[in-house]
Amino acid sequence: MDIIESEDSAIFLYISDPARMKQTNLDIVANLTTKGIACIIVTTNIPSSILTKLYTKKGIPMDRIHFIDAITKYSLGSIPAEVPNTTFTSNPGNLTELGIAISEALKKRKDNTALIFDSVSTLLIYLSSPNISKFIHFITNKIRLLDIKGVYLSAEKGLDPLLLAQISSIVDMVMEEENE
Amino acid sequence: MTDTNKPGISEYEMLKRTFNAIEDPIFYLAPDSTIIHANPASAALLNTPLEEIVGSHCYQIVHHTPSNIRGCPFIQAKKTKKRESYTVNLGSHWYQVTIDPVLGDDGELIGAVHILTNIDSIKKIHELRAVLGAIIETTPDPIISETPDGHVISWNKGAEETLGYTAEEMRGESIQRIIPEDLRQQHLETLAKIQRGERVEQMETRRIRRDGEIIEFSLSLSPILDDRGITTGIAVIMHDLTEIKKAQRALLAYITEAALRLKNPIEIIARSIEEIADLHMAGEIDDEELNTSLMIQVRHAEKIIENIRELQQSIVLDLDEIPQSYRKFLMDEE
Repeated sequence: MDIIESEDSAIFLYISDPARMKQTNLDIVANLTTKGIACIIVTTNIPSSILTKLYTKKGIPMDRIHFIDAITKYSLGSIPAEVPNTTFTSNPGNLTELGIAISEALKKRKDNTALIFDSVSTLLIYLSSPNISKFIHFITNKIRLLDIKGVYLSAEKGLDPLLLAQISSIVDMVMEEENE
Repeated sequence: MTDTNKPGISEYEMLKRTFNAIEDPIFYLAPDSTIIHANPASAALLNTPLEEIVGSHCYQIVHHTPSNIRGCPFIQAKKTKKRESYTVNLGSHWYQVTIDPVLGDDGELIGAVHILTNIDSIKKIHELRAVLGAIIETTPDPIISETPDGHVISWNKGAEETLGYTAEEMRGESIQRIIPEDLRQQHLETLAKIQRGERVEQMETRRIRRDGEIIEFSLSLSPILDDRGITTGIAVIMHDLTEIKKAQRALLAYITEAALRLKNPIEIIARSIEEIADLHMAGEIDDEELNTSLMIQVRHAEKIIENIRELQQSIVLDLDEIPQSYRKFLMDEE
Protein backbone atom coordinates (compact mmCIF):
# COMPACT_ATOMS: atom_id res chain seq x y z
CA MET A 1 0.00 0.00 0.00
CA ASP A 2 1.17 3.54 -0.66
CA ILE A 3 -0.30 6.99 -0.16
CA ILE A 4 -2.14 6.80 -3.48
CA GLU A 5 -3.80 3.50 -2.71
CA SER A 6 -4.81 4.39 0.82
CA GLU A 7 -8.44 5.44 0.97
CA ASP A 8 -8.38 6.86 4.46
CA SER A 9 -6.31 9.45 6.19
CA ALA A 10 -2.74 8.32 6.29
CA ILE A 11 0.70 9.81 6.83
CA PHE A 12 3.74 8.52 4.93
CA LEU A 13 7.46 9.17 5.08
CA TYR A 14 9.03 8.78 1.64
CA ILE A 15 12.79 8.23 1.68
CA SER A 16 14.22 8.79 -1.74
CA ASP A 17 17.58 8.88 -3.50
CA PRO A 18 18.58 12.58 -3.59
CA ALA A 19 18.70 12.38 -7.39
CA ARG A 20 15.06 11.20 -7.50
CA MET A 21 13.52 13.61 -5.01
CA LYS A 22 11.96 15.87 -7.65
CA GLN A 23 10.54 12.91 -9.54
CA THR A 24 9.07 11.43 -6.36
CA ASN A 25 7.36 14.74 -5.65
CA LEU A 26 5.93 14.88 -9.20
CA ASP A 27 4.70 11.29 -9.10
CA ILE A 28 2.96 11.63 -5.74
CA VAL A 29 1.29 14.94 -6.62
CA ALA A 30 0.23 13.68 -10.05
CA ASN A 31 -1.32 10.53 -8.62
CA LEU A 32 -3.10 12.31 -5.77
CA THR A 33 -4.60 14.99 -8.01
CA THR A 34 -5.68 12.34 -10.51
CA LYS A 35 -7.76 10.87 -7.69
CA GLY A 36 -9.29 14.28 -7.07
CA ILE A 37 -7.20 15.08 -4.03
CA ALA A 38 -6.02 18.65 -3.60
CA CYS A 39 -2.41 19.12 -2.49
CA ILE A 40 -0.77 21.67 -0.24
CA ILE A 41 2.93 21.58 -1.17
CA VAL A 42 5.44 22.89 1.38
CA THR A 43 8.67 23.44 -0.52
CA THR A 44 12.06 24.19 1.05
CA ASN A 45 14.28 23.40 -1.93
CA ILE A 46 12.61 23.84 -5.35
CA PRO A 47 10.98 27.27 -5.86
CA SER A 48 7.22 27.15 -6.42
CA SER A 49 7.62 28.89 -9.79
CA ILE A 50 9.62 25.95 -11.11
CA LEU A 51 7.33 23.36 -9.50
CA THR A 52 4.40 25.10 -11.21
CA LYS A 53 6.09 24.66 -14.59
CA LEU A 54 6.94 21.02 -13.88
CA TYR A 55 3.43 20.20 -12.62
CA THR A 56 1.84 21.94 -15.59
CA LYS A 57 4.02 20.00 -18.01
CA LYS A 58 2.99 16.78 -16.27
CA GLY A 59 -0.65 17.70 -16.68
CA ILE A 60 -1.33 18.30 -13.00
CA PRO A 61 -4.37 20.55 -12.57
CA MET A 62 -2.99 23.64 -10.86
CA ASP A 63 -6.36 24.59 -9.38
CA ARG A 64 -5.85 21.67 -6.99
CA ILE A 65 -2.46 22.92 -5.86
CA HIS A 66 -1.53 25.38 -3.13
CA PHE A 67 2.14 26.14 -2.50
CA ILE A 68 3.78 27.19 0.73
CA ASP A 69 7.12 28.39 -0.60
CA ALA A 70 9.69 28.72 2.20
CA ILE A 71 12.73 29.26 0.01
CA THR A 72 12.13 31.79 -2.78
CA LYS A 73 11.87 34.90 -0.60
CA TYR A 74 14.80 33.78 1.55
CA SER A 75 17.03 33.25 -1.47
CA LEU A 76 16.04 36.21 -3.65
CA GLY A 77 15.11 38.70 -0.93
CA SER A 78 11.81 39.41 -2.71
CA ILE A 79 8.83 37.52 -4.09
CA PRO A 80 7.21 37.66 -7.52
CA ALA A 81 4.06 39.79 -7.65
CA GLU A 82 0.59 38.29 -7.95
CA VAL A 83 1.33 34.60 -7.75
CA PRO A 84 -1.93 32.67 -7.29
CA ASN A 85 -2.34 29.83 -4.79
CA THR A 86 1.03 30.50 -3.17
CA THR A 87 2.06 31.59 0.32
CA PHE A 88 5.63 32.76 0.66
CA THR A 89 7.35 32.56 4.02
CA SER A 90 10.52 34.45 4.80
CA ASN A 91 12.89 31.71 5.92
CA PRO A 92 12.88 27.88 6.02
CA GLY A 93 14.17 28.11 9.60
CA ASN A 94 11.22 30.20 10.79
CA LEU A 95 8.93 27.41 11.98
CA THR A 96 6.39 29.75 13.57
CA GLU A 97 5.75 31.47 10.26
CA LEU A 98 5.74 28.14 8.43
CA GLY A 99 3.32 26.63 10.97
CA ILE A 100 0.94 29.58 10.60
CA ALA A 101 1.10 29.35 6.79
CA ILE A 102 0.30 25.61 6.92
CA SER A 103 -2.55 26.15 9.40
CA GLU A 104 -4.04 28.88 7.20
CA ALA A 105 -3.78 26.75 4.07
CA LEU A 106 -5.41 23.80 5.84
CA LYS A 107 -8.27 26.02 7.04
CA LYS A 108 -9.01 27.01 3.45
CA ARG A 109 -8.84 23.42 2.20
CA LYS A 110 -11.60 21.73 0.34
CA ASP A 111 -12.37 18.09 1.02
CA ASN A 112 -9.82 15.46 0.14
CA THR A 113 -6.61 17.28 0.76
CA ALA A 114 -3.07 16.07 1.21
CA LEU A 115 -0.14 17.96 2.74
CA ILE A 116 3.17 17.26 1.00
CA PHE A 117 6.34 18.38 2.85
CA ASP A 118 9.36 18.57 0.51
CA SER A 119 11.67 18.02 2.24
CA VAL A 120 12.59 17.22 5.85
CA SER A 121 16.24 16.67 4.90
CA THR A 122 16.56 20.17 3.39
CA LEU A 123 15.00 21.61 6.54
CA LEU A 124 17.90 20.03 8.46
CA ILE A 125 20.22 22.58 6.85
CA TYR A 126 18.32 25.30 8.71
CA LEU A 127 17.22 23.64 11.93
CA SER A 128 18.40 21.18 14.53
CA SER A 129 16.99 17.66 14.66
CA PRO A 130 15.11 18.23 17.97
CA ASN A 131 13.35 21.33 16.56
CA ILE A 132 12.39 19.51 13.38
CA SER A 133 11.09 16.58 15.39
CA LYS A 134 8.83 18.91 17.42
CA PHE A 135 7.60 20.61 14.26
CA ILE A 136 6.81 17.29 12.55
CA HIS A 137 4.84 16.25 15.65
CA PHE A 138 2.89 19.52 15.46
CA ILE A 139 2.04 19.10 11.75
CA THR A 140 1.23 15.42 12.18
CA ASN A 141 -1.28 16.25 14.94
CA LYS A 142 -2.97 18.74 12.62
CA ILE A 143 -3.15 16.20 9.79
CA ARG A 144 -4.62 13.59 12.15
CA LEU A 145 -7.21 16.02 13.54
CA LEU A 146 -8.33 17.03 10.07
CA ASP A 147 -8.36 13.41 8.92
CA ILE A 148 -6.41 14.13 5.73
CA LYS A 149 -3.36 12.61 4.06
CA GLY A 150 0.21 13.69 4.70
CA VAL A 151 3.56 12.99 3.04
CA TYR A 152 7.00 13.84 4.36
CA LEU A 153 9.75 13.60 1.79
CA SER A 154 13.36 13.04 2.78
CA ALA A 155 16.62 12.31 1.00
CA GLU A 156 18.15 8.92 1.69
CA LYS A 157 20.64 9.18 4.60
CA GLY A 158 19.47 12.77 5.02
CA LEU A 159 18.22 12.24 8.59
CA ASP A 160 20.21 11.27 11.63
CA PRO A 161 19.23 7.91 13.15
CA LEU A 162 17.36 9.44 16.09
CA LEU A 163 15.25 11.81 13.96
CA LEU A 164 14.50 9.02 11.50
CA ALA A 165 13.33 6.80 14.35
CA GLN A 166 11.15 9.58 15.78
CA ILE A 167 9.46 10.39 12.47
CA SER A 168 9.08 6.69 11.65
CA SER A 169 7.26 6.18 14.93
CA ILE A 170 4.59 8.82 14.23
CA VAL A 171 3.87 8.15 10.54
CA ASP A 172 1.75 5.23 9.35
CA MET A 173 4.29 3.93 6.89
CA VAL A 174 7.86 4.53 5.76
CA MET A 175 8.39 4.09 2.02
CA GLU A 176 12.00 3.60 0.95
CA GLU A 177 12.42 3.92 -2.76
CA GLU A 178 14.97 1.62 -4.32
CA ASN A 179 17.85 3.21 -6.18
CA GLU A 180 17.75 2.91 -9.93
CA MET B 1 109.89 -11.85 46.72
CA THR B 2 113.15 -13.80 46.45
CA ASP B 3 116.16 -14.02 44.21
CA THR B 4 114.90 -17.45 43.14
CA ASN B 5 111.84 -15.89 41.62
CA LYS B 6 113.62 -12.99 39.93
CA PRO B 7 117.20 -14.01 39.23
CA GLY B 8 119.52 -11.18 38.29
CA ILE B 9 117.19 -8.31 39.30
CA SER B 10 117.41 -6.65 42.66
CA GLU B 11 114.29 -5.89 44.61
CA TYR B 12 115.04 -2.17 44.30
CA GLU B 13 115.39 -2.50 40.53
CA MET B 14 112.15 -4.45 40.27
CA LEU B 15 110.28 -1.87 42.36
CA LYS B 16 111.80 0.93 40.30
CA ARG B 17 110.70 -0.74 37.07
CA THR B 18 107.22 -1.27 38.48
CA PHE B 19 107.13 2.38 39.57
CA ASN B 20 108.10 3.48 36.09
CA ALA B 21 105.61 1.12 34.42
CA ILE B 22 102.53 2.36 36.30
CA GLU B 23 100.26 4.38 33.99
CA ASP B 24 99.03 6.68 36.74
CA PRO B 25 101.33 9.59 37.58
CA ILE B 26 103.08 9.08 40.95
CA PHE B 27 105.11 11.60 42.90
CA TYR B 28 107.07 11.07 46.07
CA LEU B 29 107.34 14.28 48.04
CA ALA B 30 109.59 15.32 50.88
CA PRO B 31 107.92 17.05 53.88
CA ASP B 32 108.74 20.48 52.35
CA SER B 33 106.84 19.56 49.15
CA THR B 34 109.98 18.91 47.11
CA ILE B 35 109.44 16.18 44.56
CA ILE B 36 112.01 13.46 45.21
CA HIS B 37 110.74 10.85 42.79
CA ALA B 38 108.35 10.95 39.83
CA ASN B 39 107.51 8.28 37.28
CA PRO B 40 107.43 8.78 33.48
CA ALA B 41 103.61 9.07 33.57
CA SER B 42 104.13 12.24 35.64
CA ALA B 43 106.38 13.68 32.95
CA ALA B 44 103.71 12.89 30.36
CA LEU B 45 101.00 14.50 32.50
CA LEU B 46 102.97 17.71 33.10
CA ASN B 47 104.59 17.66 29.67
CA THR B 48 107.89 18.32 31.42
CA PRO B 49 111.11 16.23 31.49
CA LEU B 50 111.58 14.16 34.64
CA GLU B 51 114.84 15.95 35.41
CA GLU B 52 112.96 19.25 35.71
CA ILE B 53 110.22 17.72 37.84
CA VAL B 54 112.47 16.06 40.38
CA GLY B 55 113.82 18.69 42.77
CA SER B 56 110.99 21.12 42.13
CA HIS B 57 108.25 21.94 44.58
CA CYS B 58 104.98 20.32 43.65
CA TYR B 59 103.02 23.59 43.85
CA GLN B 60 105.48 25.18 41.38
CA ILE B 61 105.47 22.40 38.81
CA VAL B 62 101.88 21.19 39.15
CA HIS B 63 99.88 24.26 40.19
CA HIS B 64 102.32 26.99 39.09
CA THR B 65 101.91 28.82 42.42
CA PRO B 66 104.63 30.21 44.73
CA SER B 67 103.39 28.19 47.71
CA ASN B 68 101.08 25.31 48.59
CA ILE B 69 97.59 25.82 47.29
CA ARG B 70 94.77 26.56 49.66
CA GLY B 71 93.35 23.33 51.11
CA CYS B 72 96.38 21.35 49.89
CA PRO B 73 95.74 17.75 50.94
CA PHE B 74 99.46 17.20 51.48
CA ILE B 75 99.41 19.84 54.22
CA GLN B 76 96.35 18.08 55.61
CA ALA B 77 98.05 14.66 55.45
CA LYS B 78 101.05 16.09 57.33
CA LYS B 79 98.68 16.96 60.14
CA THR B 80 96.49 13.84 60.14
CA LYS B 81 99.22 11.41 59.06
CA LYS B 82 96.44 9.60 57.27
CA ARG B 83 95.47 9.12 53.64
CA GLU B 84 93.91 12.26 52.12
CA SER B 85 92.40 12.66 48.68
CA TYR B 86 90.81 15.25 46.46
CA THR B 87 89.86 15.72 42.83
CA VAL B 88 91.64 18.14 40.59
CA ASN B 89 91.34 19.26 37.00
CA LEU B 90 94.66 19.28 35.20
CA GLY B 91 94.69 20.22 31.59
CA SER B 92 91.43 18.87 30.22
CA HIS B 93 91.29 15.84 32.53
CA TRP B 94 89.96 15.08 35.95
CA TYR B 95 92.14 13.26 38.49
CA GLN B 96 91.55 11.72 41.87
CA VAL B 97 94.69 12.59 43.84
CA THR B 98 95.49 10.28 46.79
CA ILE B 99 98.18 11.29 49.26
CA ASP B 100 99.57 8.49 51.44
CA PRO B 101 101.92 9.77 54.17
CA VAL B 102 105.15 7.82 54.73
CA LEU B 103 106.11 7.81 58.40
CA GLY B 104 109.55 7.28 59.90
CA ASP B 105 110.33 4.91 62.76
CA ASP B 106 109.56 7.71 65.20
CA GLY B 107 106.11 8.12 63.61
CA GLU B 108 106.98 11.44 62.05
CA LEU B 109 106.20 12.16 58.45
CA ILE B 110 109.22 11.75 56.23
CA GLY B 111 107.44 11.97 52.88
CA ALA B 112 104.27 11.21 51.00
CA VAL B 113 103.24 9.27 47.93
CA HIS B 114 100.94 11.15 45.54
CA ILE B 115 99.03 8.97 43.10
CA LEU B 116 96.88 10.66 40.43
CA THR B 117 94.13 8.49 38.94
CA ASN B 118 92.35 9.63 35.81
CA ILE B 119 88.64 9.73 36.64
CA ASP B 120 87.34 11.24 33.38
CA SER B 121 85.04 8.28 32.71
CA ILE B 122 83.68 8.24 36.27
CA LYS B 123 83.20 11.99 36.15
CA LYS B 124 81.31 11.70 32.84
CA ILE B 125 79.08 8.96 34.25
CA HIS B 126 78.34 11.14 37.26
CA GLU B 127 77.57 14.10 35.05
CA LEU B 128 75.34 11.96 32.81
CA ARG B 129 73.57 10.57 35.87
CA ALA B 130 73.01 14.10 37.14
CA VAL B 131 71.58 15.16 33.78
CA LEU B 132 69.35 12.09 33.54
CA GLY B 133 68.27 12.56 37.14
CA ALA B 134 67.33 16.16 36.41
CA ILE B 135 65.36 15.09 33.33
CA ILE B 136 63.49 12.42 35.28
CA GLU B 137 62.75 14.82 38.12
CA THR B 138 61.56 17.68 35.94
CA THR B 139 59.48 15.77 33.40
CA PRO B 140 55.73 16.09 33.97
CA ASP B 141 55.25 12.42 33.03
CA PRO B 142 55.30 9.91 35.89
CA ILE B 143 58.51 7.82 35.82
CA ILE B 144 58.58 4.97 38.30
CA SER B 145 61.01 2.16 38.95
CA GLU B 146 59.86 -0.96 40.70
CA THR B 147 61.28 -4.27 41.87
CA PRO B 148 60.58 -7.33 39.72
CA ASP B 149 57.76 -8.24 42.11
CA GLY B 150 56.16 -4.82 41.81
CA HIS B 151 57.36 -2.74 44.77
CA VAL B 152 58.19 0.90 44.18
CA ILE B 153 61.90 1.81 44.15
CA SER B 154 61.66 5.36 42.86
CA TRP B 155 58.81 7.78 42.19
CA ASN B 156 59.50 11.09 40.42
CA LYS B 157 57.81 14.48 40.78
CA GLY B 158 55.64 13.80 37.71
CA ALA B 159 54.28 10.72 39.49
CA GLU B 160 53.67 12.76 42.65
CA GLU B 161 51.76 15.43 40.75
CA THR B 162 49.80 13.12 38.45
CA LEU B 163 48.95 10.34 40.89
CA GLY B 164 48.77 12.34 44.11
CA TYR B 165 51.11 10.20 46.26
CA THR B 166 54.52 11.46 47.45
CA ALA B 167 57.70 9.50 46.76
CA GLU B 168 58.05 8.96 50.50
CA GLU B 169 54.61 7.39 50.68
CA MET B 170 55.14 5.10 47.72
CA ARG B 171 58.76 3.94 48.12
CA GLY B 172 58.64 0.28 49.16
CA GLU B 173 54.87 0.09 48.63
CA SER B 174 53.26 -2.32 46.19
CA ILE B 175 52.48 -0.72 42.84
CA GLN B 176 49.12 -2.55 42.97
CA ARG B 177 47.94 0.37 45.10
CA ILE B 178 47.45 2.47 41.95
CA ILE B 179 46.18 -0.34 39.71
CA PRO B 180 42.43 -0.95 39.36
CA GLU B 181 41.42 -4.36 40.67
CA ASP B 182 40.42 -5.72 37.27
CA LEU B 183 43.88 -4.93 35.88
CA ARG B 184 46.05 -6.31 38.71
CA GLN B 185 46.41 -9.82 37.32
CA GLN B 186 47.32 -8.39 33.92
CA HIS B 187 50.04 -6.28 35.56
CA LEU B 188 51.53 -9.30 37.34
CA GLU B 189 51.61 -11.16 34.03
CA THR B 190 53.39 -8.19 32.42
CA LEU B 191 56.03 -8.18 35.18
CA ALA B 192 56.61 -11.91 34.68
CA LYS B 193 56.94 -11.37 30.95
CA ILE B 194 59.62 -8.70 31.49
CA GLN B 195 61.51 -10.98 33.88
CA ARG B 196 61.53 -13.69 31.23
CA GLY B 197 63.22 -11.16 28.96
CA GLU B 198 60.21 -10.83 26.65
CA ARG B 199 59.56 -7.52 24.99
CA VAL B 200 56.51 -5.61 26.24
CA GLU B 201 54.86 -3.28 23.75
CA GLN B 202 53.69 0.16 24.81
CA MET B 203 50.21 -0.26 26.27
CA GLU B 204 47.20 1.87 27.08
CA THR B 205 45.71 1.23 30.50
CA ARG B 206 44.13 2.82 33.56
CA ARG B 207 45.52 3.81 36.97
CA ILE B 208 43.92 5.20 40.12
CA ARG B 209 44.79 8.60 41.52
CA ARG B 210 44.93 9.17 45.26
CA ASP B 211 41.50 10.88 45.09
CA GLY B 212 40.04 7.79 43.42
CA GLU B 213 39.81 9.24 39.93
CA ILE B 214 40.63 6.77 37.18
CA ILE B 215 43.13 8.12 34.65
CA GLU B 216 43.99 6.67 31.26
CA PHE B 217 47.73 6.27 30.60
CA SER B 218 50.05 4.96 27.96
CA LEU B 219 52.78 2.86 29.61
CA SER B 220 56.28 1.96 28.44
CA LEU B 221 57.89 -0.77 30.55
CA SER B 222 61.50 -1.82 30.25
CA PRO B 223 63.78 -4.01 32.36
CA ILE B 224 66.58 -2.58 34.51
CA LEU B 225 69.48 -5.02 34.05
CA ASP B 226 72.58 -5.48 36.19
CA ASP B 227 76.09 -6.21 34.82
CA ARG B 228 75.19 -9.89 34.43
CA GLY B 229 72.07 -9.07 32.41
CA ILE B 230 69.75 -10.09 35.26
CA THR B 231 66.54 -8.06 35.69
CA THR B 232 66.84 -6.20 38.97
CA GLY B 233 63.97 -3.83 38.40
CA ILE B 234 61.48 -2.41 35.94
CA ALA B 235 61.36 1.14 34.67
CA VAL B 236 57.88 2.46 33.92
CA ILE B 237 57.29 5.65 31.94
CA MET B 238 53.68 6.79 32.00
CA HIS B 239 51.93 9.38 29.86
CA ASP B 240 48.56 10.79 30.88
CA LEU B 241 46.09 10.24 28.03
CA THR B 242 43.12 12.04 29.59
CA GLU B 243 43.36 15.07 27.34
CA ILE B 244 44.09 13.04 24.23
CA LYS B 245 41.12 10.75 24.90
CA LYS B 246 38.86 13.73 25.49
CA ALA B 247 40.01 15.24 22.21
CA GLN B 248 39.45 11.91 20.44
CA ARG B 249 35.89 11.69 21.74
CA ALA B 250 35.25 15.30 20.73
CA LEU B 251 36.67 14.55 17.30
CA LEU B 252 34.31 11.59 16.88
CA ALA B 253 31.35 13.75 17.87
CA TYR B 254 32.56 16.42 15.46
CA ILE B 255 32.91 13.96 12.58
CA THR B 256 29.39 12.63 13.18
CA GLU B 257 27.90 16.11 13.33
CA ALA B 258 29.94 17.23 10.34
CA ALA B 259 28.67 14.25 8.32
CA LEU B 260 25.11 15.18 9.13
CA ARG B 261 25.47 18.91 8.73
CA LEU B 262 27.90 18.88 5.83
CA LYS B 263 28.06 15.65 3.79
CA ASN B 264 24.34 14.97 3.43
CA PRO B 265 23.24 18.57 2.75
CA ILE B 266 26.07 18.98 0.24
CA GLU B 267 24.79 15.88 -1.51
CA ILE B 268 21.33 17.46 -1.70
CA ILE B 269 22.87 20.62 -3.17
CA ALA B 270 24.89 18.62 -5.70
CA ARG B 271 21.85 16.65 -6.87
CA SER B 272 19.70 19.81 -7.00
CA ILE B 273 22.26 21.59 -9.17
CA GLU B 274 22.35 18.58 -11.49
CA GLU B 275 18.57 18.65 -11.77
CA ILE B 276 18.54 22.40 -12.37
CA ALA B 277 21.11 22.01 -15.14
CA ASP B 278 19.08 19.21 -16.73
CA LEU B 279 15.88 21.26 -16.59
CA HIS B 280 17.61 24.25 -18.14
CA MET B 281 19.21 22.13 -20.87
CA ALA B 282 15.81 20.62 -21.64
CA GLY B 283 14.31 24.10 -21.90
CA GLU B 284 11.92 23.43 -19.03
CA ILE B 285 13.14 26.45 -17.04
CA ASP B 286 14.34 29.79 -18.41
CA ASP B 287 17.47 31.76 -17.45
CA GLU B 288 15.73 33.66 -14.69
CA GLU B 289 14.45 30.46 -13.11
CA LEU B 290 17.90 28.94 -13.47
CA ASN B 291 19.31 31.92 -11.61
CA THR B 292 16.65 31.63 -8.87
CA SER B 293 17.35 27.92 -8.43
CA LEU B 294 21.08 28.48 -8.23
CA MET B 295 20.62 31.27 -5.69
CA ILE B 296 18.66 28.84 -3.50
CA GLN B 297 21.52 26.38 -3.59
CA VAL B 298 23.98 29.18 -2.78
CA ARG B 299 21.89 30.11 0.27
CA HIS B 300 21.81 26.47 1.33
CA ALA B 301 25.61 26.35 1.03
CA GLU B 302 26.00 29.58 3.03
CA LYS B 303 23.80 28.16 5.76
CA ILE B 304 25.88 24.97 5.85
CA ILE B 305 29.06 27.05 6.31
CA GLU B 306 27.33 28.93 9.15
CA ASN B 307 26.30 25.60 10.73
CA ILE B 308 29.85 24.27 10.57
CA ARG B 309 31.19 27.48 12.11
CA GLU B 310 28.69 27.16 14.97
CA LEU B 311 29.68 23.52 15.41
CA GLN B 312 33.38 24.42 15.57
CA GLN B 313 32.73 27.16 18.09
CA SER B 314 30.61 24.93 20.31
CA ILE B 315 33.42 22.35 20.35
CA VAL B 316 36.02 24.99 21.19
CA LEU B 317 33.86 26.40 24.00
CA ASP B 318 33.22 22.93 25.43
CA LEU B 319 36.86 21.82 25.44
CA ASP B 320 39.53 23.60 27.48
CA GLU B 321 42.31 21.34 26.25
CA ILE B 322 42.37 22.53 22.63
CA PRO B 323 45.75 24.14 21.86
CA GLN B 324 45.60 27.91 21.37
CA SER B 325 46.62 27.76 17.69
CA TYR B 326 43.78 25.32 16.90
CA ARG B 327 41.37 27.32 19.03
CA LYS B 328 42.08 30.43 16.94
CA PHE B 329 41.73 28.46 13.73
CA LEU B 330 38.39 26.91 14.73
CA MET B 331 37.07 30.25 15.98
CA ASP B 332 38.08 31.89 12.68
CA GLU B 333 40.32 34.30 14.58
CA GLU B 334 43.35 36.00 13.06
